[in-house]
Order: sequence, then structure tokens, then C-alpha cells
Amino acid sequence: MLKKLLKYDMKANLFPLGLTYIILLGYGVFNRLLAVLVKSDYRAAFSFVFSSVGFFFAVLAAVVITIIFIILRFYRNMMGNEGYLSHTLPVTPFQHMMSKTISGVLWLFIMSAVIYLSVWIWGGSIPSKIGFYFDFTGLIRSIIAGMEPVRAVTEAVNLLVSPLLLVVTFYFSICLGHLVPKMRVFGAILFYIAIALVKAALTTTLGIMLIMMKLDYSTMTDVTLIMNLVVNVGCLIGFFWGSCLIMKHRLNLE
Amino acid sequence: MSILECQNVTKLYGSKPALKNFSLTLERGRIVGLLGPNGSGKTTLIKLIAGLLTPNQGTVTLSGMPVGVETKSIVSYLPEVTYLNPSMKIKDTVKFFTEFYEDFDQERAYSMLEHLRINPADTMKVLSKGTKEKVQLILVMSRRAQLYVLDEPIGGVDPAARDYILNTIISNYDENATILISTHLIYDIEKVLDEVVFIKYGELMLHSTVDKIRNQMGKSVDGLFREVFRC
Repeated sequence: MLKKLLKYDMKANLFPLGLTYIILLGYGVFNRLLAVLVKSDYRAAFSFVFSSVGFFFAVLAAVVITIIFIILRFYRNMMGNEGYLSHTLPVTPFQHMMSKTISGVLWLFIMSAVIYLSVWIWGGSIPSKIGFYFDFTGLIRSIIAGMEPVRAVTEAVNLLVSPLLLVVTFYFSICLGHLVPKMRVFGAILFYIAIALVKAALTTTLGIMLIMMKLDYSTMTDVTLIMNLVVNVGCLIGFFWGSCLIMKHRLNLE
Repeated sequence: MSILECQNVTKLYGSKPALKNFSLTLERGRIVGLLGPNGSGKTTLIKLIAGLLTPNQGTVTLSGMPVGVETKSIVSYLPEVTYLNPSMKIKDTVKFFTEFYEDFDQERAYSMLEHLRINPADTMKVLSKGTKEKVQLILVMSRRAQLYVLDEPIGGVDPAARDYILNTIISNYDENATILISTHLIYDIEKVLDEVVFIKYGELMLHSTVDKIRNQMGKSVDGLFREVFRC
């Protein structure tokens, strides 16, 4: 059943996100052509600069559109009218959450790959560090350069956990918002902000406790990384199960 | 074994009870009308059966099993709302049902679509409200379920479509299956019912066979309804 759910979850966003990524790649090609033109005609330089600024906003738009459609898919399919079908399928809330989480993260990775590719097309070179997901390139180089294994593994695991946590936090906020009748969307936004604030407060408190332990810099860095990872994994598991419990016991579709 | 058993079910929305100590047993092979005025608890009961709500107290069992994944595979539910993805084509929705429900009869679904001259290549969003409801009904009735739960299946359609929907319901369900139809258009539906359940303010007012109402009480179901629920 999970495979079937995943198929439909991916398919639901295929047209809007596919179109977005095709446009972004096309824009990258357009900029590349402009760059070639600049070499032969300096008057094209202004167009290239403006187009490059526009490209930056296009990348930003692709990120925002991807996140919006990931959130919308969950909200409409689980809490909207489509929920009357989704929640009456012979499928558990756990399977629904798994499918939505996997599809959300897959779309984030596809988005990252498309942005990476479009920037490469635009700039003609692989970017060393653009945005969250491109840290992976730097990470690999660090490992190869002899980075400490503990730090490398922690960073790698955190890179995998972070997109999962991002997606699951959205879903958990929507589920929490569902508990507030007549203010579900507003409630979801408030809960998302509250979760972010609580998490920031928790990590800050733990950070202060670490500082008070007066560890050496290297140990402090390792412990901080591990601590952040533990907090992220804990939140991921908690939010995932919380969402499942709300969908199982507190669902009330209007 | 009865198909549905509700025992002392209470469902609260906040502090407001939608169902109060509600108990009901439905046997197999019956067409049952769930009748009551607006806000009486019909949809709440249906959602509890479909697994969309959890009771605050009491139990709901289907074929001896508590509501869950297993019961969702034997219950075919038609809600009042349009619940299909508007961007999906009708043939995609048929494929969806085929993939998720083992008891779904694809041939029957296409046969009913053809009979109604509905093009499977159309997307849901281009259909009229009545046609969308017919497509949903076709999908629901194409399953060989043990319990069909239909929430206001004839509420928003014209009289000719109502007759078609009622005929579809009667001619496409398994004789051993039970159909539970919630409606307040009693006059149209009375002719197909075996039993009726009257519900008011979340409480069971009456559970009787239609024959008993007519023979012993000397009234039509519609007439009895008007008497019981007089404003």
C-alpha cells in the first residue's frame, strides 16, 4: 500500500513542480546564451546582469513553490475534502505519513538537483556552496581531506535528517492546527512558529549548558553537532508520531 | 454475525454531544434508512462507522471487528462532499479504486459510466456537480463491500437523477451486503428501504422495519417521520 500511496503522492505534484523546474532550467539555458552573447557584444552585459538577478529570484520562487505544493498536497489530501477518501482507504495513518514524508523529501531533493543543474548551466561551473543541500559537496571534500569521522558522519546524518524534519514539521503543524476548529490554517501557522521558537530555545539552552562545561573548542564542536542531531532526530520522531496520533484519534473533517 | 454494532456510543464536539449513548445493531442484507433532521447526528454516526471519527465512549464494531484498516476494506463509503482530486481523470479514479480496494469491480464501473454517457477521459474539475456525485456513487457501488454507507446520496441532484441513483444502488449491491442511507428526502427513498432508523438530538428514536410501520402503525415512513420530528 505504501508504494501505491507514494506513487499517487508524487504524481499529484508532478505537473506543477515539473513545469516549474522546466521553466527554471530553461531560464538557466537562456542566461547561459546571454553570457555567450556578452562576450561578443558588451551591450548585452546589462541584460545579463538583470537576467542573472531575475534568475536568483527564479531559484527562490522554485524553492517557495516546491514547499507550498508539498504543504498543499498534505493539507488537501489529509485535512481537506480529499481526506474523506484518504482516511477511508484500508491504510494506516503511519503509512499515510510515511508516503507524504518520503514524497515531500523526494521533491526537495529533485528541486535541489534542478537548482544545482540550472546554476551549473548558468554559471558553467559547479557551485561550491549554495544553500543547504549543496553542503553535501563540501562535506564529501572534507571527508576526502581527512575530516574527523565523528564530525563527518554527524554532518552527513544531519543533512539527511534536516529535510525530513522540515517536511514533518510542516505536517505536524497542520495536524496541530486541525485541532483548532474554525482557525485551522491560522492555527497551523501559529503552531509552526511556536515549534520553531521552542526548538530554538531548547538548542540555545543546551548550548549555554555546554559553554558552562568549559570544553575545548574541538570537543565543543563535536558535542554541539551531536546535540543538534539528537534534538533533530527526537523532534522528527516526536512530530511524526504526533501527526499519526492526531490523524488516528482526533480527526474531524469538516 | 451482524454487520454493524454500536454499543453506548457517545461522541462529543467540545462539550456538545452529537451522539448520546447510541446503540444500534444492523443485520446483513438489509437496506436501512438513517433518517433525522439536520444536526441530529446522522453524519456523525456515519463518520464513526467509516473511521473518520473516534467515539468518546462506547464501541463501534463491523463484522465483529473494531473500526480500523480491516473494516475500511469491507465498508464502501460515499460522503456528502466531492472527495476526488479535481485534477484526476475519471479513468484515473477508477484505477485508483482498483489499486486500493481488492473488491473493486472495474468492469462494472466502466459499464455504469458508459450507461450514463460519462467520458472516462474527462477530468473531475470539468464535470457538473451532479455528474461528480454520480461518478462518486459509481465508484462506491462498484465495490463488492459488506456495508455500503451513503451520506445524502440524493441530496443535491434533480428528481430524474435521484431515480437513477436509487436504481443504481438497488441493482448494484450484493444481496448479502447492507446499505445504510442517510437522507431527509424520505418520500423518494421510502420505496427501497427495508428498515428505518430515526435519530434525533444524537439519540435513537426508532429502529423498525418499513413493513411494521406500514402494517402495524398504518403509516408511511414519511408520515411517521413528520409526526416524530414535528417542529
